[in-house]
Amino acid sequence: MIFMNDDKAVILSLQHVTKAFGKNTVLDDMSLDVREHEIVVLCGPSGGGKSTLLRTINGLEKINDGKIIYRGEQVTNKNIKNIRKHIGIVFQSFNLFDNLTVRDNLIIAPVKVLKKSKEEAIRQAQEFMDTFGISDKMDAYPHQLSGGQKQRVAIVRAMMMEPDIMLFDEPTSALDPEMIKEVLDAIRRLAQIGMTMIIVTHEIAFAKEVASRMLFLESASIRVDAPTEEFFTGVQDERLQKFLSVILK
Amino acid sequence: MGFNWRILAGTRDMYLDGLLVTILYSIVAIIIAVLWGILIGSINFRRVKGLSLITRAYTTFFRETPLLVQIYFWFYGLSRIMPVSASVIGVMALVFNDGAFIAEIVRGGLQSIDRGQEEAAYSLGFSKSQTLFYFLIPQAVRKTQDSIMNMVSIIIKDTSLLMWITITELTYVAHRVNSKFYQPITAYLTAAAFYFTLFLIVQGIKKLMDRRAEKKNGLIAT
Ligand SMILES: Nc1ncnc2c1ncn2[C@@H]1O[C@H](COP(=O)(O)OP(=O)(O)OP(=O)(O)O)[C@@H](O)[C@H]1O
Ligand SMILES: [Mg+2]
Repeated sequence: MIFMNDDKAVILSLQHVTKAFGKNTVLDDMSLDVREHEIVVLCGPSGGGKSTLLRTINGLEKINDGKIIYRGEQVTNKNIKNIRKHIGIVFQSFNLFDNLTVRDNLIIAPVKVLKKSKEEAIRQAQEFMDTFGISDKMDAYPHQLSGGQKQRVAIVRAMMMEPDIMLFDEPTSALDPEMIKEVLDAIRRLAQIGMTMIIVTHEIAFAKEVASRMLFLESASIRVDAPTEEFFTGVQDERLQKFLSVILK
Repeated sequence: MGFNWRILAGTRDMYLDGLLVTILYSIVAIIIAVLWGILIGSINFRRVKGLSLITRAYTTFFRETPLLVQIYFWFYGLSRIMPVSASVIGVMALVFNDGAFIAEIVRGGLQSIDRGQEEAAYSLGFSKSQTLFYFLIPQAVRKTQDSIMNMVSIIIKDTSLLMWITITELTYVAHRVNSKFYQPITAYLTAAAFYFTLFLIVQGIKKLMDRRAEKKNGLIAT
């Protein structure tokens, strides 16, 4: 496990980010730094703004105030398309391209966006698929895969862009219990190679195992931000205790 | 009266020529109308500033006014401003009218696709137009292929209105045969039989496409 290290470069920095949908403030003056090789796990009650936080980082939601800085560069409308290439995101509902085979799902972005050669992209895809134990699914269409397989393909699809940081929004919560492990194993592998990640999950045991830092998001704010050990043992916060007691039951 | 086979024997070549003209106009109009419909449907779906206002007005206007009025409008109106042949006007009228219907079908198909795939595309660095082109349009077309194929049948039938601008397609031939021999049942039933054959061919193609789509990605055409 890699522990938080202040010497490491800050990849991503949110500074006083505010996001509202109409009158509903979903992110309220939120600040957060993510350093290289850190694995930040977000948890918190439903509606707390976890998904919205990930979506703003990826430019899928516009922020109302504050700034997001990626490797020293402020994210704007102009550069978001470029910055996105370095930020992988995996959604709860997989969002694979239904009209393409697994192979084409994996290679289309590297080929069309990064202008990689098709051969190189296929070779790389094959390698990832081998690692994640689904190399026999290259010619399948998404509808022919199980949920766990779909999610692993979605992870590979994001990894094909050689991202700097990966965002996961409840990657296992649409899955049957027996498929959760295979997806968590895939994320573990990314942890082993030092991938920087922000993960929203309710899998607390998994979070304990991989997270270098835990955040508790509640009513539009980061209520607790602590190294993993401390988060589970040393934090005196009534709401967090309540949340943990419910979720660990 | 009744059906007169003798007349048919004597006018066979006329009918075949007419059929050929009908098929040619149909194919050209279908190809262009589908492409045009996809283009306009996509613009309507995207709500491109300013442009969508125009394309939406166009779509509504051309769907809600009679095709024959539109054909006359282009034929007598446009040809006054610039020299255009009846055949160009004919294709154009069909494309503008039937293309507007296809545009609405395509827009509906685009709207029925879950937003998640679009967001996944953006997150991988695709632009809006790339996302439409690589992911959304192929799926919208596949989802709506039955409705689009219905429009194909309609376009084939719509070519019969082109007789009013001197195009000697199948219906025009039937008309001429009737005025020559005064045998309306033979004249028009023959034309109808040809149209129906074309419809059956379209149905066959539709079945093949359905089967292919099913095999390919299990998307059920609605
Ligand atoms: N597109 C949207 N338009 C309006 N309100 C939205 C939109 N997306 C999210 N919200 C609101 O923002 C708030 C935070 O939602 P968000 O999805 O970020 O929560 P979450 O922490 O991910 O919850 P969950 O655990 O249920 O996924 C909720 O009140 C939600 O209703
Ligand atoms: Mg969420």
